[in-house]
Amino acid sequence: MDYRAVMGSVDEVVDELRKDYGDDLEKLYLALWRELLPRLEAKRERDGMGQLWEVLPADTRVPDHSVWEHRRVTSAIAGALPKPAFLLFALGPVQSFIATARKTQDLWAGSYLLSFLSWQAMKVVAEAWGPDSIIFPDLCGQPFVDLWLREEKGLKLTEEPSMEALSSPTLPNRFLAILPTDEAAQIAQRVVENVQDVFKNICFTVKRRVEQVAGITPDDEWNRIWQRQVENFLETYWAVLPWEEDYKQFLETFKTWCSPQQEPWEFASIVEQYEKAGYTPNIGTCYSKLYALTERGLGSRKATRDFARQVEPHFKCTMFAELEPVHLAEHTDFGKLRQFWNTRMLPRLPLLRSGERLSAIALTKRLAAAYYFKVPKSEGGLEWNIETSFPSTSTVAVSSFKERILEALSDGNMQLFDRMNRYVTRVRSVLGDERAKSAPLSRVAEAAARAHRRIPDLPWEFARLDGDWLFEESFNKRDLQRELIERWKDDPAGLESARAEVLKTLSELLDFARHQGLGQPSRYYAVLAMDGDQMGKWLAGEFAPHLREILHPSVWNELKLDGEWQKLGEMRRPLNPSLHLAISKALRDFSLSTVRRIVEDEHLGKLIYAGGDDVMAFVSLGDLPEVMRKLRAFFSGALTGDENQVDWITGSGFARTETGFQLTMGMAATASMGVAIAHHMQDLGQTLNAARAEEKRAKDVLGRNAFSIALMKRSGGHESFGARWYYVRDGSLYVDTLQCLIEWRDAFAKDDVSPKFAYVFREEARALSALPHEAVGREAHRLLGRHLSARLSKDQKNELSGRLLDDGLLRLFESGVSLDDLAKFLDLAVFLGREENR
Amino acid sequence: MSKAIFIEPLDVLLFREGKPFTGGEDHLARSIFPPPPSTVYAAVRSHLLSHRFGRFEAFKQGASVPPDLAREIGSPTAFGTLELRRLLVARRRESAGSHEKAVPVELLYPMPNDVAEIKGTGRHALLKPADGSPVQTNLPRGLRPLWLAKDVHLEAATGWLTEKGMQRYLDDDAHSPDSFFAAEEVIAGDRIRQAIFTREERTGIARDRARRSVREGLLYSVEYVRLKSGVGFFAEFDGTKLLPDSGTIALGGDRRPAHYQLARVSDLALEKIRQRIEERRRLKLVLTTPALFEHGWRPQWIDERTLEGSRNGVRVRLVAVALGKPVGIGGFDLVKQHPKPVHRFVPAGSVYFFELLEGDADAAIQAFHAKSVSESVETFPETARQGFGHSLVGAW
Repeated sequence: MDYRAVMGSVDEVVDELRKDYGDDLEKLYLALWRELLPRLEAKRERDGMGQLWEVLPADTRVPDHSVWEHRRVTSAIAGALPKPAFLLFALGPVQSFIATARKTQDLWAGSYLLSFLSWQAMKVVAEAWGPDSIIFPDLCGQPFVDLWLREEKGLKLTEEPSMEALSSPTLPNRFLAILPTDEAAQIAQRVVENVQDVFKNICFTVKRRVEQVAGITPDDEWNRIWQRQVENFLETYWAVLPWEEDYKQFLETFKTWCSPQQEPWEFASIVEQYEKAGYTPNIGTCYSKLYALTERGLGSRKATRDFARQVEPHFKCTMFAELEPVHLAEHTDFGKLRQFWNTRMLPRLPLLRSGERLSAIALTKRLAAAYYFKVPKSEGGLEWNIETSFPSTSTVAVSSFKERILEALSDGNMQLFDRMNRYVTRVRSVLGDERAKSAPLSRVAEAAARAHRRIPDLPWEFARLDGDWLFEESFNKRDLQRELIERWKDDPAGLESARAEVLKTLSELLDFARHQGLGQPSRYYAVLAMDGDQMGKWLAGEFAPHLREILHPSVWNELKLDGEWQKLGEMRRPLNPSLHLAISKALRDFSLSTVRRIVEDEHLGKLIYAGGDDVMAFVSLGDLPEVMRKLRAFFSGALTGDENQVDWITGSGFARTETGFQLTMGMAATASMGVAIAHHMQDLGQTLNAARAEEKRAKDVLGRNAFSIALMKRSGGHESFGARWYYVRDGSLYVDTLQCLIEWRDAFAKDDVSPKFAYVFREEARALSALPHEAVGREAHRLLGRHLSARLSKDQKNELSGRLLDDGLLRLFESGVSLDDLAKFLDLAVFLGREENR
Repeated sequence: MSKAIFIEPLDVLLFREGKPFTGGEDHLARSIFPPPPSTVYAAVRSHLLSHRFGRFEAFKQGASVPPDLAREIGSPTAFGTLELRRLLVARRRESAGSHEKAVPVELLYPMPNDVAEIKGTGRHALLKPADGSPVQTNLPRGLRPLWLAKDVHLEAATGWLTEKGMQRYLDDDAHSPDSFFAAEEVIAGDRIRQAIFTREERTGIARDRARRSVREGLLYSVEYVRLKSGVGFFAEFDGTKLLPDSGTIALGGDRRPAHYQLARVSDLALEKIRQRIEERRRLKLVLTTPALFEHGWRPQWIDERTLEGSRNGVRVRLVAVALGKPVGIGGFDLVKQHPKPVHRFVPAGSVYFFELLEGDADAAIQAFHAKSVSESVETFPETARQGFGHSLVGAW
């Protein structure tokens, strides 16, 4: 590599920046933060740096973080000198924002609003002390932030955040910043005020719009309800810890407030060893302890959840049980209230559903996207180009069926075209465009785009239909009559004959699809919730590597001869700010790009939220095990090769991208996941809670680095199967649980194995459990042998039973998964292998 | 006048959260546990009415009920003398003989909010108000943070304390340096399901009454609570002569049946608490049922600026509060056929820490211990009478 070429790139980029921003120091500073790296990367072919720009080590002797983290932290601290302080801020109530949802739309809207408000909190800090002062989360490249840099700060970022990126909630509800001590508390107070102001502004913009659209003349009662609910909703907590100048004094303070539970205290010994080895420790050496104390401070703040008096008279909001639905003074009893909502609000506000009566908070959640984010600036909105409709649960459930149909259409299947055309036309004529629609998943939209090249319009119209309309039961006469009363009021009898027509065209389409081998639409979908394991401890540096592991090997080979250094080498590297930022950055890349790519581009899924180590998504059953496995592998970089093959044992800890490497949490980090497979009509809140409960089970019961899947059948019964992601024996991979599930699923799907096997296995599981392991193996082989397809050759049978049992199921059994759990595992594989769920 | 009873459900119970139950999707009606004391108060009040008068509709329309009954249950618009002094989850003592007139029960107390679990260990620690913390926060002005000066990961504790556990808690008498409670004094985590209650979900279908058929596509689930055998509610009533010694009441949603009989409990020992308060001039109040305060979390007799206040001749200064998430309590007024306004209550388990400025320990105990501190407002009258805000005094 030519050093001069590399430095030439740096000079060129600096010149470019100067040319673009002249003497505007603020712009130059923001550009260095945001644009330096991408601009350098753009020159990688010429200067020969290839994929290395992003991973240049800050210190060649201790190559555990890059120069990019280093310079940003240095810049953050420099701005806060002479006396920096931590500010840790948290916004709530998370539960009310997110889990209080009747529709997927509300779920997305709640997380989006929370993510946006979180940015509004961070923005105060970014405006006052620069975005570099925020250590967690990593703001670089966040869509909200890029938009701010372009529109408010005048940076020439080449790419505008895509509609997709800008539409997704990616910021967590808390942040950590380094600020000057003198100003930290003041800024925190301004953060609180700004978040409250922005929230009020959003709510009242929605309010005005509702008044306009529904033709409401606000009276005192109406205004009072809005005011009261909006004022009392948000919770804000913060903690500030000034960094003492003298690190020794701080260690004493720390001991007083967080008395270490080990003797001798390892941390103090490290600092001592540093001194002996000739390094001069300073307060920065104590970074991890400063951070730990700040976290404790915020935790204690949250133990006092102060609140103001709030009385909510009258009836209840159908989304927030503790709030009153908005109404005018004249709506004094339930009859009048219901009439107001049914005849005034419902017909004029298309985003409402029949039977709903909403509070100010619920209305804001439901309408903010349409009435605030997208609204022109002249009318008090943001004028953002965001996707405001979110696929419904049934739309996720049927997505793989839709994708197959659209593929077949692209291939020019004209009989299919006729049937689809009749069906789509009928559905739209019964329901009207608005009611029939739901946002399609990205892959379905892509399939539609491909088909569209051949056959105009129909693919789009089919892709955009809500999944409900592929099910006969959705055309329930009574519900249609109630919901479509306005639309069909002039011709009530017409509705019935149109309904009969649509049912006919639907069954023609479904029958045809079955005969063509295109499968059937599924009524089930999955919600997954993933969370890094013990992230608190990672962020507190408790899992930091031993010093000898992070020193450059040639450095360590020299140093280890020294007795003092040898001791030091065995100690954990104290968390430093650059490492902290490296964690933030790994999580940012994971949540901003990796998760979306896996869930939405590579598979049939829709992200609900991805921020930090926390992911929540809807996934079509056909892709579920694949998505789960990839998400976990990319989290820690359990990957190998250019194609990112999953490798649980010798993965590199990096993910390859088209342009280079992506940092991950690293092979030592683990994550757990909970999944709920639910019927599309199942109460959404219940499904989300089930996914969270499975996640908790994976952590607490299965001991982390595990997943757990609940199958919530509508016929009743709720069973869950959980296991470690993989099991290791003698240092090498013994069995990959989901890979094994995938193979069983496929075997059932192809009818290589009869689903009866699962049933028989379950019946025998209890009797088997008394047998020695060897006998269990023999019996499993005997049972499977009786359920293998007759069309398989003997060799095929041997190969299959070897793969499914000896290298799969029996290895899980040997690894400690009980026979009872294996029976559940097989049930799950059968369920996922069914025609409609593929 | 005072009567202590033990109420044992004969079947599952339903204490529904306030969410409306309509619309075209599947629904789950969740249960809260334990129910607010007003639920038990209302059940016993109705029981008196049906036992002595029997005609609910007539009562609603203002028919005159016998004067001795009217005195206790009041009228459709006003409360009578009936008062719920105490309501706690309780369990039969194992040695209980069936021949006894009053069944001996052990009280179970909701976990106080100043107890924290040391993450992942199942052990508990007690937080204390800290002086001069290096961390500055946006706590309400003048309040101190609650702290444990150990480098461990803490998380909120949930569950119940046994009588012994509560005694230890109020005495401020740690079991060991590592664990404030002995293991058997805490019922938390999985033990709640083994020892106190489980949730049961039952799925129903929406029936079309007109067509006497099942409506397509709608499922609803209701979450019931099933108490473990021998577990029930201990309720102490005052202001009633008419309440029979035993009987069956209809409790909560669906009017599920529960049997009650006279009960006896052992009292908390006050000696050590008194002694510690006297020595340290500090006390804390822990709420065993939710409380309503005029100013949200702050009792109206505490001055907002100085955080000082007097009650029954005892002058104190509030120094810290361990507050859980507020609970919305309203309910449905059967007489008026109208939902009652929902108010935000300070949840059970919340703790108020005081310095004793004037008055001695006896006076402090007299003023606060086993009393209700709940305040009433026009839109939610007589909270104390309905069993809200029952508090206990402890040392810190």
